[in-house]
Amino acid sequence: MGEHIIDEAPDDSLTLGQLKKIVKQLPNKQKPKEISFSYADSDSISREIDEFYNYAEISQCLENKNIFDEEFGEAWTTCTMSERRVYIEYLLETLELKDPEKRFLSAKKLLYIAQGTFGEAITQEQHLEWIMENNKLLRKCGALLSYFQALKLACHAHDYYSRPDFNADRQVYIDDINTEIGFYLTLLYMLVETHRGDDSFGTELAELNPPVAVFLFEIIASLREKEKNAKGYPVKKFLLLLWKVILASLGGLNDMLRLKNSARTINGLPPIYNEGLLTKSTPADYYTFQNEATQKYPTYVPPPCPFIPTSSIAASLFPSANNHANGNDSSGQNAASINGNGNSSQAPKSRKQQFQTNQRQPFIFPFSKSTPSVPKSIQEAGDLYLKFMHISLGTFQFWKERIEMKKLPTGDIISSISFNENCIMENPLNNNDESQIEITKTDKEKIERIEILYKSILPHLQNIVIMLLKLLLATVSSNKNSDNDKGGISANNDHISESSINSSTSNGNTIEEIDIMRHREITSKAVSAIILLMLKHLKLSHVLKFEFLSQLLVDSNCLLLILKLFGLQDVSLMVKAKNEVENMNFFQYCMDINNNSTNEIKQTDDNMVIDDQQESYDVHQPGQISDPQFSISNETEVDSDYCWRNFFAAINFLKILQKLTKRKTHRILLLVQYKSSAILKRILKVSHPLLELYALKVLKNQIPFIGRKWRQSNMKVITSIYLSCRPDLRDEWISLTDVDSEMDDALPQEQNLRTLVKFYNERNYFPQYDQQNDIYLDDNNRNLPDIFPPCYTKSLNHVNSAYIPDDIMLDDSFLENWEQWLQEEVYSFSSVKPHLKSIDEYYDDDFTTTIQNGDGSEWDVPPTSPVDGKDPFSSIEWKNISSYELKDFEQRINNSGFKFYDFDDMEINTDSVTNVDDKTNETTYCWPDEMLGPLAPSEVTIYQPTPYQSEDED
Amino acid sequence: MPDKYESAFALQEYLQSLIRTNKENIDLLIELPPGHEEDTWQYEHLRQLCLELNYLVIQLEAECNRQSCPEMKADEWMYLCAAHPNPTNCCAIDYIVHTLDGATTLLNSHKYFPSRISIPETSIKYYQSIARRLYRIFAHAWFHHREIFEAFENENQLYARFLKLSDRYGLVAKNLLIIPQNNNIDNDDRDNTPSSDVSN
Repeated sequence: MGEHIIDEAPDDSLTLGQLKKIVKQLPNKQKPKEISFSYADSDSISREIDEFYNYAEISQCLENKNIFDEEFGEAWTTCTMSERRVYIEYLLETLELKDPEKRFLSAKKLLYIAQGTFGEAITQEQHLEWIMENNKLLRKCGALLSYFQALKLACHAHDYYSRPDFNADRQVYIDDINTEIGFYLTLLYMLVETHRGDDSFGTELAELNPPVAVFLFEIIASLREKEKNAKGYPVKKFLLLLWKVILASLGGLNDMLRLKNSARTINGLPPIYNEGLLTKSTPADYYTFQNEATQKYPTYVPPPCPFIPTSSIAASLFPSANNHANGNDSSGQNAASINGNGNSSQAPKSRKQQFQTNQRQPFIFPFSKSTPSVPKSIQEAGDLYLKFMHISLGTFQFWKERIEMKKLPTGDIISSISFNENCIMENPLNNNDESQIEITKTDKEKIERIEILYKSILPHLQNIVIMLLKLLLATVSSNKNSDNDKGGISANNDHISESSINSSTSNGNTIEEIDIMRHREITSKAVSAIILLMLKHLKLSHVLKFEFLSQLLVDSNCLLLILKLFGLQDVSLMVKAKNEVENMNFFQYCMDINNNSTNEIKQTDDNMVIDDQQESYDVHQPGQISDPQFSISNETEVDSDYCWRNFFAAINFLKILQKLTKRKTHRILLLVQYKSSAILKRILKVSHPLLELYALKVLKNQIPFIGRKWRQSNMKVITSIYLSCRPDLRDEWISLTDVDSEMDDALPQEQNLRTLVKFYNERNYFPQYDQQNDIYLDDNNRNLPDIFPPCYTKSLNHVNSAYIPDDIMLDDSFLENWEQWLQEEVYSFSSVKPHLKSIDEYYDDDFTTTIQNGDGSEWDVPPTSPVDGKDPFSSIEWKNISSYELKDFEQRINNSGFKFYDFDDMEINTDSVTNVDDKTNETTYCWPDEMLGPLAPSEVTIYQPTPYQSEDED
Repeated sequence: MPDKYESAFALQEYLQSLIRTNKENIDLLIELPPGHEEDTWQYEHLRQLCLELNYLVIQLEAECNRQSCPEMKADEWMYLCAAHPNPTNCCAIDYIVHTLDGATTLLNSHKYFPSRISIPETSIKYYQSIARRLYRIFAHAWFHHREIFEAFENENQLYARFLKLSDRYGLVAKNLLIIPQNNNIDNDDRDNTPSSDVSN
């Protein structure tokens, strides 16, 4: 461990540096050209705008232009500023008109303005400039407020029309309202995109009521309820807008480190400057080391761990604790070994030593005053651990939350993990660092916004996750032909032979087909970005928020879905796919309109087959080469022929996989079970450092569990992992000393994590949650309009009338004796029922028999103590256990249960909604060698505890 | 001058005393008192406007009801009440009350207007939308309850003040002012008949 840090290593092993040198000297054996993709928050603004518009609807631009020209009659660009302003204000006002026809016309005229009044632009650059200029003006005129108001009204109208009791000509109404929603989404998107990186605009977005991100998330969640009527809903636009709104209001890649440091400072941790640390050690690692060292050398007094008292580490960090290494020496552990139930990850496995000498025999160093009490190497190791100590915010928050849980009087659930209270006292957490980093106001606001977002969407989070994954699934579960198309278009000759895809269809793609493929790619890009951003931001705010979201994702089969995505498409082809028709792209189309080539465009509209594939390539290329950030690595040639959105999505998916499974043995075992290694290995064929890195990271997690055979035949992969992934100081990834105990611990580990997440959510959000739930059910109170709060006056009456019934019939005897009653029943009753108790009773009504006080060995049985009556939480959320069944999942992919009705929007089949109760409790981990086939579906059992589903009950 | 008022609401008291003593002198009413910010001055005016519009509403209630005006109309313009999550058919008087309530709530909202001495920059954008909506009340009264409007206007000159204020601070775009102005014959060819344009 850690020998690579020291330069002089023994001859029989190589240091990382030496290995890198050797690899460099090796002849570059036809390594494929590196792809020049550089990862960023989003693509260039013009491409992102291009992608927002579907080919099927691009002709609307022309329509908008004509409508605008008809009324305005002058040249927009030569008008004075105030003339433009007056006109915009007039249009915004008319968005509130009652007559939908008039609103449509106004929206279309606004669209033309937001789209840069392209009729007057000569070049694409000029067009883009006008887009920026006009949207800045629109913002000044208060367009955001009007758009948002209009969007809210339209969305509520959609809710209204999709109610089952609304009969008359429903589809006509819904189609209209979908179009209208589409307009507003487009307007908002243009506004958001043109104000990229403008923090004050992000603030505006977050200050609306509700914040735009919250509103959009709620809409996504509500789509699940009304899947029947989701036909024609502009989902892609929603997703793209949501993604950009999150970026704008919470921040993106560039803000992450800064926000992280701010969050650390707020929590009293020192900021991190050295992100490029050579290696890391975690408190848990250090704890393990201390145990080992003090057993062997009782005289050794290890230096204390900063911030978190060492003795409570093991107890508090179990979900991330990787201290499998000391599985067989736990007898000497002082704090963590007193595990009452033996359920925690610490559960000591008293395995018999196979070795002849007892390695744990204490070794007393010959005492003398001149020499240190332990070998120098041990001391040095201790110092190294401290030097590279990295206390992540997550670890720290875990620890604190555990203390909270311990404090709780009814916290029998966790009493199994005991740690010394005194330790906390010994090492109080005083912020000795006088907050070296200054937290800017905007950063603080951003972190608060995450909190608000989480709080508001928590009741819907389950639905949001399911909806997002369903939309993602819809992008792969297409008819098989489209895959062929894909392979065909991306005909990159050296790859085509490897894939089983027949390339014969390559030249026969209609615009329609390309549009569908493009639509899917863009949807998948947006979903991947949203999930990743949410994971990242929630982690910044509190690690348990992150854990809750990842738990939902895992339970909803996100891991499998991502692997499917990678499995069904050849990634090396996917990242080069070209599903573009250049002259149907927004900017080009607008330019063509100006060049009066409208007639030709009309022709291409009608499913014209593109004969000359090459043409679209050529036009496509230049935009990609001009990638500003990329600095070409000097020696290797680069390949600049790639598809930005697919590359971006692929990396996002890998990052999500890594985020979901890192240090979670249970989930890693799922990956092993799904045979993900084969899929990940295929990804390695794509030559791009970041993509490779994340594929390797995900592989690295699994390697201890994959089996010797695989490791033997895949030394190449192992070498790449060694070369590219940063090792931890104590990192036993190639072979664990005690795989068995690690696997046994996987389930309790996961359960404990869930218990803690549950505890956290209930402690912090339960009151709101309950309220929110009411609000959620009561449609009137949801999404109050920002300016004119709706029923403040009305709801007041409503509330009054609800709580003060006007004719109370009182018993005669009561009327006579009420004073006595008051004395006896009210005043003398001093002991007030605890609040939590009443909640418990509330939930008792639908308390099902599935809850047993178990030992935590099964998923749906919380590891609680038998004192059920006192535990307010045990009955609440484990009652709804449901899942997608994997078979069904597979079937849907095969049967293509999701179809595209038109180009823009997808229809979601209702019968594909599966919420099958699944109470299977066994774990079946198999070694890959024993697996039946790829993703052997019958073997897989996924657990699906779905807390917080009470919305579904009504 | 507002400086002579020492309470926390100096500006409001100053404005109200001007109205009490000399409400005909609209120019003076609108004139920004020296040493004060435009934002806070507009804010006080809007508050005052809401207060006084309530008197107009009381007058209107006598004659404007669900039967006489089932819809919020002003000339050809018909508005959607923003106060409801679902598109609801509010009759005019309901619409007016909702709008006024909404404006009042917003102006008193601690979130957007935490202080009357300094207005957050992000909240200034609400002025326009408040003014635009309040204007509809005038417009409805003018087009459908002319007598009440004129009687009220003769007494209070509220609309004249509103116009001046809007003109001075650009609150409502000219082409949205659908009440014909006596002294200004429409010289704008397209603006004054917006409804016919929209229906094109």
